[in-house]
Amino acid sequence: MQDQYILRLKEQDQSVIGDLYDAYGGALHGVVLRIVQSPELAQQVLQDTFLKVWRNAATYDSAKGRLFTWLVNIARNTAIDATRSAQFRQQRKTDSVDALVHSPGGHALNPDHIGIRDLVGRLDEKYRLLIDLMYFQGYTQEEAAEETGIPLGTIKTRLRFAIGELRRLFGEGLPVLLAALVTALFRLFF
Amino acid sequence: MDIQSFLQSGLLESYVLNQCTPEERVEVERMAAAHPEVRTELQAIERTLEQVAFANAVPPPAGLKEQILQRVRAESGAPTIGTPRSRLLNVLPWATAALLALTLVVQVREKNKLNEQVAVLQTRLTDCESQTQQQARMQEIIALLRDRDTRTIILNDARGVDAKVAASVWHNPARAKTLLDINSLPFPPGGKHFQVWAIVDGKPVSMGMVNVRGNDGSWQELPFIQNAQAFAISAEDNPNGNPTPTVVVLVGKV
Repeated sequence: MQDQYILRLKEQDQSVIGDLYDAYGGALHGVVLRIVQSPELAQQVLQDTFLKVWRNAATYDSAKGRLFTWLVNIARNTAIDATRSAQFRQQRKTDSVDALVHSPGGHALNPDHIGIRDLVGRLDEKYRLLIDLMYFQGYTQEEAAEETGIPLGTIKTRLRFAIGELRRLFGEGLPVLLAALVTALFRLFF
Repeated sequence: MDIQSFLQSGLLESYVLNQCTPEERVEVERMAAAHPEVRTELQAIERTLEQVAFANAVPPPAGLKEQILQRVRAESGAPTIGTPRSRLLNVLPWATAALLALTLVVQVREKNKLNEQVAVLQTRLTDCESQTQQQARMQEIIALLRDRDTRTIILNDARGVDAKVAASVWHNPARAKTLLDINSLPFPPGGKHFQVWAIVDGKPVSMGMVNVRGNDGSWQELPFIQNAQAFAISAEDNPNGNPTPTVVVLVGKV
């Protein structure tokens, strides 16, 4: 599927944008919302993101990474630019460390994804924060170090550890979901 | 740096997060191109973060997709292909051809109509000309009849039996004109033809056959014969006449 999208992007086939939107729009919207914290601005950013994707299709190199990685980088940069121009970053507090996993009334978390909350929730607090800041909010290593108090020299290894933990958790995610499903069914019938 | 410490340095994670220096970027890409393990590790990191992103997906509001598609369409300039101007340019040659063809058809029909009118007018002109000729001839005849030198000679039944059978000849030696009034002439007996004669010194001189249904229908001009003492009409079997009269039907002295 990804290869098909890439091919159509390279051929400047307009219809690919609709399909990319259907496939990745929600995930990109989640990232954008986490940065701009405004539904209206997020819509604008998402529009600009897809327009940039369309314009810069030729610059995507599949040897340097997956399509989604490229897309999310464009979305993140566009969102950060939007908040900078809106003087957003100064006003915004790193409102909630828990936003990524606990999402108290925010839009960052998709509650339909049963199990994810638990999986990421099991991640150590400072690693969660690191993922949230660097992946969802586009903080630089320096900014992330300042925000978390982690020494700049160890940010990279902490990041590796955090992502490694997520990999491990996702790896056992399927059995956890199955167990939850069996439990739910059991409760329903007995 | 050996592969294992490279994989564990956290550089790959920074690379995927777009958080490394240009030098680091070049280094990662060089290593990835050279070592399949690096590529596999990069893919695993990307997939993991992708899963996190999808787990936190928020459906965009309805209508946003259409806005994006419209902007992309506007950007690619595809709609300009169908702008009214270019459509007009596409249609123009055909429209011109159609107009020319229509004009041609109309012109041909107009020409045919005009040709018909010309034919009608020509017929009328011919009629008018012949009427004018006839009128001129009538004038001539009237002038002749008014002339004092013109004498009317009544040709009567040669046997002196039927007083109603008669014909008139107008004879004018001054103008050297002789006319036969055909209207007054009875139809020739079955299979017979009338021949006109002038009697000069007691001898008949042929003046030709009577054209019963002549051009003007009323008068027939006869050759002028000097010194004619009488005129006669004979009935002949030969439609072209005979050198001498066979049966004289009418006769009248000058």
